[in-house]
Amino acid sequence: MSQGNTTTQPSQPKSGSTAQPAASAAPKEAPMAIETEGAWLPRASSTYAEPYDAAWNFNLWVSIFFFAIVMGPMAYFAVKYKRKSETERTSPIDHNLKLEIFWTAIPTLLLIYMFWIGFKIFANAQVAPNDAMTINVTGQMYSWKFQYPDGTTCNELGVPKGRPVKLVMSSIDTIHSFFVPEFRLKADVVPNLYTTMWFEPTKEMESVVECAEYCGTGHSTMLTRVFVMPSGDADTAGTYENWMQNGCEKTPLPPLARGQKKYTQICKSCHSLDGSRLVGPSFKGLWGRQETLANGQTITVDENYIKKSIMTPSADIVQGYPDQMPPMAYLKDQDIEGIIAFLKEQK
Amino acid sequence: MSRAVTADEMDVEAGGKNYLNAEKGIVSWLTTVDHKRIGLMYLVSTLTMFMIAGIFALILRFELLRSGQDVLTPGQYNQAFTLHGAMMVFLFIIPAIPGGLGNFVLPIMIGAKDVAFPKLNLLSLYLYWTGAIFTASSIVSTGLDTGWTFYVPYSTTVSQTSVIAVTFGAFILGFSSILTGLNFIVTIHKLRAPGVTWYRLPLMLWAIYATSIVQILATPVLAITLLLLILERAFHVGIFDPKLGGDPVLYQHFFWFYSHPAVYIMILPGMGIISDLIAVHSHRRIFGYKAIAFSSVAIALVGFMVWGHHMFTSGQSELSSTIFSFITFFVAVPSGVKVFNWTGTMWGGSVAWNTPMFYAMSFLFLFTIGGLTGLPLAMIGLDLHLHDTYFVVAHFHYVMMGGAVIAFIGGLHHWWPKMTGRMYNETTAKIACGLIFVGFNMTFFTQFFLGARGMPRRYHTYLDQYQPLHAFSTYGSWVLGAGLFLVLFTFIHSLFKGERAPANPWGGRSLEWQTPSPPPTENFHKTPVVTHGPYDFATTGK
Repeated sequence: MSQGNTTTQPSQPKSGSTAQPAASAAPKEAPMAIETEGAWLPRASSTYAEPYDAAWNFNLWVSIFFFAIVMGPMAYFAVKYKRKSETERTSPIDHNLKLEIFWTAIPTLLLIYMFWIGFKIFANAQVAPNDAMTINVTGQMYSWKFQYPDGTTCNELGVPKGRPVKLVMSSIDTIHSFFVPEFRLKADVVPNLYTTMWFEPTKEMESVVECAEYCGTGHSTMLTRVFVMPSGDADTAGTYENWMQNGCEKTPLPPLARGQKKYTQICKSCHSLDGSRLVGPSFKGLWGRQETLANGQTITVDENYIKKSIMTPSADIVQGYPDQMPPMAYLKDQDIEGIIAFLKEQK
Repeated sequence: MSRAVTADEMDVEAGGKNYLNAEKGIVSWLTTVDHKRIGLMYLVSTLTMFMIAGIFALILRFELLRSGQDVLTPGQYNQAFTLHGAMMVFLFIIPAIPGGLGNFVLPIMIGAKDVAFPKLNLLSLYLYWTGAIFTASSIVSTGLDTGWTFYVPYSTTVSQTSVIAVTFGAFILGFSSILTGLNFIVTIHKLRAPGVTWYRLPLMLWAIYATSIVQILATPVLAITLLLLILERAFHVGIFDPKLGGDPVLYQHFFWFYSHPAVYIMILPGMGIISDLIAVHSHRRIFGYKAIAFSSVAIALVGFMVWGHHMFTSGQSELSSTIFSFITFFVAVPSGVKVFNWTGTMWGGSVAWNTPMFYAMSFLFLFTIGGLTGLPLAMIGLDLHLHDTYFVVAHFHYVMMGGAVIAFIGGLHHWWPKMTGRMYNETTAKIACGLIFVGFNMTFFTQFFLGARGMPRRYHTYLDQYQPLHAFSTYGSWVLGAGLFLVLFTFIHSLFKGERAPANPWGGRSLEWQTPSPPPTENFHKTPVVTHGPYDFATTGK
């Protein structure tokens, strides 16, 4: 099932597929992969990646140059001045002030220039444009949660191409780090602190979010997918808006599967499926049952009661349970229909 | 050797006593205050820790041969990389060169009988052992899975392992480090023989001196930090724990305030060794003595102001990151000056193609790569992608292992005849050096590619696309491991079958080569008077 989970996929060579807007694609997941371009870096998929790669190349050639001017003479001297006899006399020249000043000053100037390059692209990465779309990110051991502007919460990151996105991130347990290699960006996700990151995706693609700060036994599987999709009409398959409408799915899920997904993401921590009591009533056998409310009334659990309990939970609290559930008015009609379909199955 | 035999040498040939055979029995070793014996005990202890931590590394690399789980569960893997890192840093690299080689050669190089405080020196060794026991005890109890950095809140609230035992061990090791540094500084100031001016100190000692300053000034901060960590974990005082209003990023500032200077505690003595190896084995006056000497001091001082470059993605302020990035580039300048001067020293020299010189050239190759790959990490914008990936792992292994450890092994070959009175087999030593060089580059150069392509560090399993590079890195670790075991074999063979070493096998000019191998307990039969510099070799000019 397509659950947006965070487990790694079974062995297979890396997928060559990029995000395809094909509506016919079966909901079978390809292994997660990060596309690589050239020998060193992943594909450049954000506006940040372009100046980044230019700075990288500059740095690479500076490094190769300096490596050559140290290793070349070393190898040459080692061969040319190889010891021929133990009593050989050697050069008396043991200092040269001009040379020392030369090889102190030139690298210093070059290094200051390199600092400037690094600072320039860093500065651009720190200030998000005013029109950036904000997505809230929560890190926890060992999964990611993304809350979109309309309130939808998913485990995968989907963003429209060509639009600046700002992530406001925090952790609920230990420190994590949000890393998308194809965007060249990383920021720690810290408890009790909001950190931000912004990017503008430039390519339609599918890639990987990785946790880059060690967080325990599940650290190396704290991965999820990131999708960049064209912006467009909500009814056109393959668009970001369509993906949002489908509840973070490329193709709409049947109601039961959608309900199960929502249950796992939202309801599970308070409502069990096996009859055991958590914070709220168990879903087992709930559908169609007569319930006594806190105000003494009796109701039947049907479509209307479920929808009302999701939108305004405090209105009809079942007797003996606390009034703790937050309203979930952001859920789409399809989500509620899914949850109802899922409830009907819990006999 | 076409050199007149000294009185000291005649004394040895006549069956004189040396520091190894002057007293016998284990008690004489455990109660000794002789800096040479203490140095030797440090060497044996730190090399044992190197072997254990190295075996952890081989197991880690084996697990990473394929993605998914092979021999270690995620929890065991996390413990293995934590102990590999913590033991390598605290029990091997930091104490090995100053405590082992430094203890042995420092007093001899300045013509002294011993360090300034011989009993304090022995206390340092006992503190080292105590700290080592606390740290190593975790292996047989619940282990440690926090990473060698002990980041909070993972180490204070999540980890179920022996955090307190190991941090307390590191706390004790810190005192060992402080006392050794104090001892060396006083020794260099007060016990130089007549004629040993500051500018006649071998560059090894300038490096040790700079290191000692860092040890004394930075280590107390680690002690405070670890103590706070213990209080936080045991009593939930709320300094670092965000749930109690604490600040986890504050811990990172405290930790790196010590641990970045600690990088220089590890690499500076290695740079010192290399200065000596290149000059002595090129039979040439060192090029730019003062530049190398003062660059050590400059590195030590600037090194105190760059800790925030470990935290570019941590959530510290953008202004802090910018300033730390700027200052970081100024550590590169003195490091570059050293490399240029070392290369300059080979120019017009008489370069011996022997094992210590090959290690010195290995060092130049590997340390240059280690230094240059630090540049993209110092450029803040580039670091955002590279931070906490295998690029960083490769970078610091090039500096720590390719730099400090290669220099240490080179120095061990250089001073081995002096310490043991035995030569070693040049052929097996050179083969080992070659295996280490090839294996090291296979293992770690590969990891630059892995990191740049987005492979985070401390991962037990990984995306399948990284498998070929990981496998190649693992094969490299086998070559590297084979090379290191061949070094061990060469030395053990030397102890039993090695030829007797002359007092001065390399034709060196500094004081340790003017006394017998091995030296007598009091180093010199009478206090030497020095009339020339440590690299005053016969020249073609003037």
